[in-house]
Amino acid sequence: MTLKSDSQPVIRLEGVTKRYDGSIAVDDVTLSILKGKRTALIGPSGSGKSTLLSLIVGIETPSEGAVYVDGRQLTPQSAVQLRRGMGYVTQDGGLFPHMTARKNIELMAKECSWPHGRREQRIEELCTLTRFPREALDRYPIELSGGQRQRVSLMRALMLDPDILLMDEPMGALDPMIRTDLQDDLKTIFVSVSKTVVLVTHDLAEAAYLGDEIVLINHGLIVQKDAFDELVRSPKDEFVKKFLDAQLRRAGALSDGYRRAEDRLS
Amino acid sequence: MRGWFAIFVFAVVVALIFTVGQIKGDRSNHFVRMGSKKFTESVILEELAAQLGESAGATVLRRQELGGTRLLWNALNSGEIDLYPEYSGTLAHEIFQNGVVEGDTAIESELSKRGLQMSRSLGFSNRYALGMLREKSEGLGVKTISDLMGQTALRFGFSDEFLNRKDGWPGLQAAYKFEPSNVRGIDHDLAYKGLADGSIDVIDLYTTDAEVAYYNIQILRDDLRYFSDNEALFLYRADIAKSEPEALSSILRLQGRIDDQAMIGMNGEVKIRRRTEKEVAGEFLASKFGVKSDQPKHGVVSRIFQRTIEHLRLTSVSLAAAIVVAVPLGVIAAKRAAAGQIILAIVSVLQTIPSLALLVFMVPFLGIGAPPAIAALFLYSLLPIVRNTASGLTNIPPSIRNSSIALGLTPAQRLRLIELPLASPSILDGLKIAAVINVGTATLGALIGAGGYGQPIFTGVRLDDFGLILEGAIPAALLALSVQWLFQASERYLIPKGLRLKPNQSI
Repeated sequence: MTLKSDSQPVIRLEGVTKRYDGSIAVDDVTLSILKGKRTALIGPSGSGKSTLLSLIVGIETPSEGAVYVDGRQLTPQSAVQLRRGMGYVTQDGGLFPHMTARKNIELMAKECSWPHGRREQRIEELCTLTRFPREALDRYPIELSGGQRQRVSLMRALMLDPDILLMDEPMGALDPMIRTDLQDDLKTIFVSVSKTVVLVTHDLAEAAYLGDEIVLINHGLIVQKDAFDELVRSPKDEFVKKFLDAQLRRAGALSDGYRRAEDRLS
Repeated sequence: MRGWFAIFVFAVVVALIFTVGQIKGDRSNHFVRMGSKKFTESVILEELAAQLGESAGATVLRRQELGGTRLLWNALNSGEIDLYPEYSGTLAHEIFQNGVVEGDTAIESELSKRGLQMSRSLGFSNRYALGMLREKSEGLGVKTISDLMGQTALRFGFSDEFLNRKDGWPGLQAAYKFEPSNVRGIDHDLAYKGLADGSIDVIDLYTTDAEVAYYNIQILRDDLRYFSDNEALFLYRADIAKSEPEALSSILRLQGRIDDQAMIGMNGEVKIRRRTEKEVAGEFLASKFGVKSDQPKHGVVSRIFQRTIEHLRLTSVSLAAAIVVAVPLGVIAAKRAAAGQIILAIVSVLQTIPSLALLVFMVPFLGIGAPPAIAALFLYSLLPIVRNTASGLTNIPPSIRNSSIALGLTPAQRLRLIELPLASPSILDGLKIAAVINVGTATLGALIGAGGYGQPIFTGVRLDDFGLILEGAIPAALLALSVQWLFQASERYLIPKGLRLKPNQSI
């Protein structure tokens, strides 16, 4: 696997600001995401990280500034075309409840007039990739487990084989065991498909595990953008330190407790 | 989706079939179209004219029991009916208001300007009068209208027409300098019941009403000679003298041939002995003119069948048109906030117009019969469908909406593939509400000649015939229930399976 870190940015935000009735969600953000990189957007809740992702996929339009995807500016006219080169997974999957898993996955391909055989073949590949049970393909979302739903949502995002995968807290609504499972699978998938990934999360461990680069956001501003090791080694300011502390202490407490439990057993 | 497409096609087809049928049915000139007001005497007079016309070979279309004088007058002027029974006093005081037109010759020239003519008097005068139960009037010593003065405890119940006519209550008050406080409006047929059960004491009545004798009513002497003559006559369009001369001359044989006693007698046969207007009119014509008319007798089943067809037509056409218009309006309302406000405001205001007023309001534009009723029902059906479509679309969860946008679907694809199917339970609910309201409101269509289950209900009220009321009310209730059931059953086909599953069915 080769990653060209010197390649041109595939996503670029230039001076993007998003305001809602006076409050600022994203404040004059300029950010480049390089091709093939996995970027984790992390920050406390309300920091504007999800809004940033919505701006990239064009669900929200910037109050100021511009978003470029593949060198083209995202506008209402270009959005439909550009979105087909991006896959998007939301926290609760966002599956269409009136369609079976299969229909959800192949919807866009059908609208793009892919022939039946090609669709079937792609679904087959995706089931293998996401370890989704084939017999569940004809179930409705309501009949699937939470983890299965996220896998279907992922398959739907990957159906047209987009270069970019955008994920908004894809594991936020899952219970911890399924979450770990899916994290492992995502890691495998990311490595095998070598896509540009932007992942929104509030969990530093998840960001460190899945992202090459971590973008820490607070109050709509980018506070620090670095690899995890660099972030821990040289936090830029007090907020970064505090944020890292809080998350690492929780992890530490967990592993301490784990050790004590093991000691007692032995 | 296929189910909805089927509904849409069905709606358009229903609307087309009935519209074509309507045009063919109503625009033909080979009919003499007759109307009557919604009281028994008027219906009998129309029936007499109809049977005489038929005996002369004409085909008669009966528009019985229409809402009121204004409605009939407009229908006659616009050529929707050719003839109806009227009264000279009504013509002079109500139709030509303010007494501008005085005297028979002035009235005749005023009529001929409009292409209308009037017959000579049919032979009786149906004057207004005030009446009380004889027992009560004797108890209080009230014999004349002047005697009413000082009787402050009396309650007055007058028909709307009497309350508003210049030669009715306003003129009477002026003539007798009389201002009782306890006056209220009441339907004329119900007034007699009110009198009998003691809830009112004095009513307006017509001197030929059969109830005068039946309820033992004392007609109060008009000691100031205020009430004027009110000769019965026919108003008709002058052109039927050319198109149906035999029928017209046959009908005009009635001039001067019905005296007060004969009319009171016929009213009594219908209202008190519960016989049909057809039979009573037939007997009168047989004895007076030797006219034999074979009036087909309709059994209850065939009557109800006929009413059902009429009622179904009113509701299905209006509902079909409403679906075609309201669903797109609901989509616009959901997509464009500003337009949505305006659309919802308009359809809400339509909903607040009383149904009877809306029906009557349609008549100047669409005439009488089914079209104005359908138009009014159509307007009534808009609100529930528009509102439910709009709310169904705006209530789609944001994560689903965002996913559909992010997939790269165009707005049209999103609407067709995601939003409308997800809104379908709400839209179907709107249709269900609209349909059930529609079935109920359509009964009022009878007042403007649209037929339907309202016809036996209103006739039943007029004749105080409970059986007849049930003949309309029961099928109307059954129809409302079956419409409800039909929509429930159609959910299977119209609501996607994924939305009908319960969470506990999960594996």
